[in-house]
Amino acid sequence: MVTVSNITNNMLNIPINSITPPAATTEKSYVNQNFHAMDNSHNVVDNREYKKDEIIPNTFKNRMKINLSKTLDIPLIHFPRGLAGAPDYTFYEFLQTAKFPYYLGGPILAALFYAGVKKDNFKSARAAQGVAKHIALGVGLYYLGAALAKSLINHTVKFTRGIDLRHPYVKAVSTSTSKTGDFKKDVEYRTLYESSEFTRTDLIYDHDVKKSQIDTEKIARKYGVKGDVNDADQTVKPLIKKTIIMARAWQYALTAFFVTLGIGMANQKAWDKMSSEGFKKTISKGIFGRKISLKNRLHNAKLVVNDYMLKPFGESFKQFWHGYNKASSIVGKSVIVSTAAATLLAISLITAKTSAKGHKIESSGANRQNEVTE
Amino acid sequence: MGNLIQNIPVNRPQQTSAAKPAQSQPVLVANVNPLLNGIKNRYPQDKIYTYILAEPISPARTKPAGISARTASGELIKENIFQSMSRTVKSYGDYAKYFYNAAFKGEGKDYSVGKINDLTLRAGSLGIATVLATSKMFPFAKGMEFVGLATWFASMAIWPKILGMPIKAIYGVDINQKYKDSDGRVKDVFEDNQYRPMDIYRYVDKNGKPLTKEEYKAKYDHDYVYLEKIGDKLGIEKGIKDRNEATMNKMGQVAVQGKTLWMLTAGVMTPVLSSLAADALQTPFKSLIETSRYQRQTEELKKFEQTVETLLGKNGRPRVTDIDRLYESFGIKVPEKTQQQLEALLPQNGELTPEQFKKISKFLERKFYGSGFGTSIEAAMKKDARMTEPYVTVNQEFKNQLISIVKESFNEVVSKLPDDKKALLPEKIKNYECIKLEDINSLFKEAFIDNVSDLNKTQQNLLKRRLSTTAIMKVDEEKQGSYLARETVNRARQLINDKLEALYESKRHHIVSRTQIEKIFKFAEMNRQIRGRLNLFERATIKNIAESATAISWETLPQKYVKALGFTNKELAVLATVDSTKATRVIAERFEKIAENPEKYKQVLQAMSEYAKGAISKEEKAVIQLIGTIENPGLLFKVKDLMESSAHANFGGYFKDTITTYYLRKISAVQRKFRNTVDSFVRPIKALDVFKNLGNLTDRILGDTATFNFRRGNDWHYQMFEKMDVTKAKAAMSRYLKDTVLTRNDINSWTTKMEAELPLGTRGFKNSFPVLCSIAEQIFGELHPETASIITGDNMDKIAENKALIRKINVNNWIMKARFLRIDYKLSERGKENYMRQDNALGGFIEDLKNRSKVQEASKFLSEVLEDRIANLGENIAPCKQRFTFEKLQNYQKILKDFSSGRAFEAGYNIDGAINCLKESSCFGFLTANKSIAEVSGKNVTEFLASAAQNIRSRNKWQKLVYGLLTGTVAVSAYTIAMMGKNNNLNKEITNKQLSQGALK
Repeated sequence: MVTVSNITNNMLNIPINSITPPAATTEKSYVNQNFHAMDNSHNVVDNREYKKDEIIPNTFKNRMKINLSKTLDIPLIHFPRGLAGAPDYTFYEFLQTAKFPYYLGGPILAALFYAGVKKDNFKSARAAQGVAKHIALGVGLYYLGAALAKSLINHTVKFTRGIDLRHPYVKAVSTSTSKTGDFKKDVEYRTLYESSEFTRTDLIYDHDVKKSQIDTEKIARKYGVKGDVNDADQTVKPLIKKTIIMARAWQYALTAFFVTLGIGMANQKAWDKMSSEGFKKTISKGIFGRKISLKNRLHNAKLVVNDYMLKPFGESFKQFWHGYNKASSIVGKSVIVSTAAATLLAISLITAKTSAKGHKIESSGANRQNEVTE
Repeated sequence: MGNLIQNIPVNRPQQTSAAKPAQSQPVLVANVNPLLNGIKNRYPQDKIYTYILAEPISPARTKPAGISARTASGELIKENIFQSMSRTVKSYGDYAKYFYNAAFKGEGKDYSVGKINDLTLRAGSLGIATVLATSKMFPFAKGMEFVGLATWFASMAIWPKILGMPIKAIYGVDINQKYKDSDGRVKDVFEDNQYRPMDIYRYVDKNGKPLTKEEYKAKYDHDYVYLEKIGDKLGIEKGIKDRNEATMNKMGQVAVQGKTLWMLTAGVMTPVLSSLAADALQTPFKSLIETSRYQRQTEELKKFEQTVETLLGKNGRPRVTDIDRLYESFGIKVPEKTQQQLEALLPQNGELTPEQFKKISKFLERKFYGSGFGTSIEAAMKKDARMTEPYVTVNQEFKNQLISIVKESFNEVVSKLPDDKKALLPEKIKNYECIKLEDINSLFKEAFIDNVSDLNKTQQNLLKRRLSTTAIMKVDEEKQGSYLARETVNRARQLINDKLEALYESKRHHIVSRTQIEKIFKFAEMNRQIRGRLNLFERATIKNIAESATAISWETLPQKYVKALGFTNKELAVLATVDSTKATRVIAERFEKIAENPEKYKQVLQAMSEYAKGAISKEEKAVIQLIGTIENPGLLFKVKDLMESSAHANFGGYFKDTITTYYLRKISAVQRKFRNTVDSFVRPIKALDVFKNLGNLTDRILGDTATFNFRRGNDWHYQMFEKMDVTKAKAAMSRYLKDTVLTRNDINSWTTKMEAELPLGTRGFKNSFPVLCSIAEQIFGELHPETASIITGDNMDKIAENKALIRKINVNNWIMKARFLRIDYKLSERGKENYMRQDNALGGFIEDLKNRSKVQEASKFLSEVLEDRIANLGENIAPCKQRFTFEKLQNYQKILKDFSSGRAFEAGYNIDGAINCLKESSCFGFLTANKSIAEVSGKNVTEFLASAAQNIRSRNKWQKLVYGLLTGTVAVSAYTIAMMGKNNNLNKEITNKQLSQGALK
């Protein structure tokens, strides 16, 4: 039974002579692992890169590096540790592994669907190709739509409030607990604003750090705090919390709209115009082929982007809007209109509700709840 | 328990000089407690904090309150899958609230915001399914999008449950165990490995059911009995210290392993289970939709038929022909938009300019495109000739304009001349004033148009000729004089004509009766809508369109044929390829094998018959509803009848013809579709029958042509196969028959293939026509009695329907035979040239009816062909459609029956009258081989089986993938589950002993 009161009860308040020291127990017994607190680990060299939680520069390069490392960690660290049931396995790791089915499920479903399509003779093989293309497009545009929804909100928040919801920090993980296993995991890459309840404002307002990576004054000004912004964190912190909650909620909501839009567009005839064979060939032979001048390579790259992607993308949007019968035209229009409306609503609500303008700076009154007038 | 001790919330001792309460002196405890000593040794740099009560801020006025920890009131949840489902559904209401609070107010917690994702994920998927469903044309495909969505979420939810079952059975740990926390939020017990709510197991009975403290205490003498039970399952040693914590830790390990396994496999299992479930649901879902659709459409059709019957007004009641009343009875309305378009085009004052007239004609043409109404509408409009022809109204103004045209023309011509030439012209021409109103009036009188208010085209032309002539006549004597005068007058004539034409053009208009156009439009529109209504029924039943009843049987039944025939996978692969020659070879081999084995032959034959009956009966029902039988005509004939009389009453004959063609074409399409299905599904049966009796058939064909045999030396040879001996010739013929019966579709390939069998690549062969006739006679012959008896079977309940099937097979063969060749050759000795010519389709062998020995065959042929001919009436009706009535056809049928039963030969029967009556039918354009056989017959056996094989193979591929993935994932899961809870490199259990040996100093 591990609760604070239990530990204090068990360990502190029991008469001293009733506790048998663990070392004196002769028979084999299970010992709470917390006891390795008495470990002689001061002999072990702590060669962790990060010894405490640290904010890292929010650059594109860093974010990519982190993404790569996080992606590689899924099969190399989290799955092995999870399958072995490492005692220090965390919820963070579980969430990382959860990305695996998310990205695997769509393609497998598509593959299963495609396997059932007739492709024995020439005619059906051609038809099957078309089906395959639309399935692949559907899967692709689904993930693209989801990514777009997230990015839209991220950029809105960054633009209006000066905080980047993707700002990474490194959570240093104590490896001392990994004494029980081989795979040491010493960092978790997280973002400052991933939790609304445990936002790492401590890292943002870390005044000890000389080179503060986040300009807190700028954030305060962006939030609309007037006057002396030096000590605005009392005002800004709750607003950051609000921002995080709204941004997350709208990211989820917009995802629903954008993936629907993506699938709708993937399902249009515009994509049939250009063959997928041509697409592959233009890339493999036209861009990466041998003995092709740079000029031609560039031209072909432009072709790939314009003719194979942008044009049909724009066309498919138009076709989705118009539909080819009454029902599809109604659905297409309503999906597009509601996506646009939801996006506008999201942006306007986030900007309006998280502003510090007209926000009364309240005294903290932290102890008020504890006071009872006699 | 990882970092728990580091996370103990402790208060920093307040740096205050106020006296501390004695009981919370940290020093006292720290000095004597070995644990704290240990911690102190481990973290020498840190101060050791202990729990100290908060200091009152202003002791005089307030006292601390409300800071004690809330009593944990979490509770384990024990529920079955349905309860869990209903809880999930209910929770979406909460999630919506969470969303509102978070998105609009910015309020919420990580938990509640995270739950929004669950909600929007489902909302998004619903959106996707809707978008995809609208992109599908048919109800089943639309529905399947939602079925797919449902199975996807179901398998997403069910897979962790499935995975949890063996884990729970083996280790006692439920990886999906939920609990309700103090705030009533439902959470996973093992969500976070670093947080184990052990308390919730305290008052749980041995079956995992949470009890209240009192209930529990009444049953058990100590806490955590459930954990103890799980500990036993996990193999935690009994009697060790802190066993429950050890159990909880082990449970944590198993849960982490289980959850990671879930994440590892979910990406594969969710689509796999979803795909399997959707596949399993497909058939029942499809038949559900098919049945309900069929029933709904049948009811609608019956209602419609009743209306038609009422309007037809038999038994003394008059027929309803008035268009407005028909609209009312059928409940038809002209769509508002169309009505508005028409209104805009209709003349306001009974006149239309040529452009306006063109517009309205275009509109009508577009509206009824492909219906054949265009010409009739035109004809109906021509009934009042003034509608289609542009008219020019005659009035005083018009007459004055004529005068000024003449004057202007002369003046213009003259003014263009040079002055010296002008002087030479006579005065009458130079200053033309000769024509007066009286002249114009008399001109009208002479042309007999003086009483006409509007000039039609002929009259306009007449006037044009007369006007210039009259004008010139006035100056005739003057122009005799000189070349110049003649030339001037000629030019003036030209100019007058041009100007008059221009005047006509500006004045021309169509005189149109608004009501007439409206009437025509309404009639055509009514027929269009009625056809639309009939189409709804056809789309649900016999139309070649996705998801109709016929399409569904075409999808499933041919596959069953392939399975009944027992093709191997290898053979299927060959069948499915594009090479029809190879496919035919494979089918021939399979058929031969079946024909050799009587047991197998019977089995396959009966199986195929069952399937054929299924496919045919489904369509037959619909066909009977639409066309009916000869004795009892169906709905289409009734509608045709009604519309014909309405057309006749309203517009006269010309519209009636269109209506007749319109509905007969429909009737013929239905008939042909049915013929196509019957032919396709019975062909494999007949083909198998041919394979079985191949020897006989070959002998008969070669025997038939025995007259062409000759003897060379001691050996007999067949004329055709003169270079071959008899055995080889027979083999060649049977090879040819096999190929033909599986692939036959048109006559050209017949002869080409026959030539291919002849030695030395002979092109053409003697007497080819009789030979082909003989072949057709055999392979289109009736089923062998033995085969027929196998199909009939001995199940008393089914004998009738099996016999009906046999009849259908035989009738089909008769018809195909008739279509194939001018098979009537066999029916008469009179020679082929008089037979079934375009103008005399039944010519020649009606006379055979008089010949008693031939009558059986002839009348059978005639009756079948006649029946089939109904189908073709729509297309070949041109020369005789007006004379055709259904009653006549019935009459022919009756006469033929009289012949075949022999009644016609009884005394007193007017045999010549009957035959003359039949002869009349010749005008129906009963053309026999006038159509490509491919157009009217069904699929040939190779095609039929090959496309089925393709379907089977694509399904096999799917099955291979889906079951491969399933097996692989299950194997990985089983292995992982077997290894759960064991110590490994990443999870070393540290025992006290190990600790004493070094881990713990």
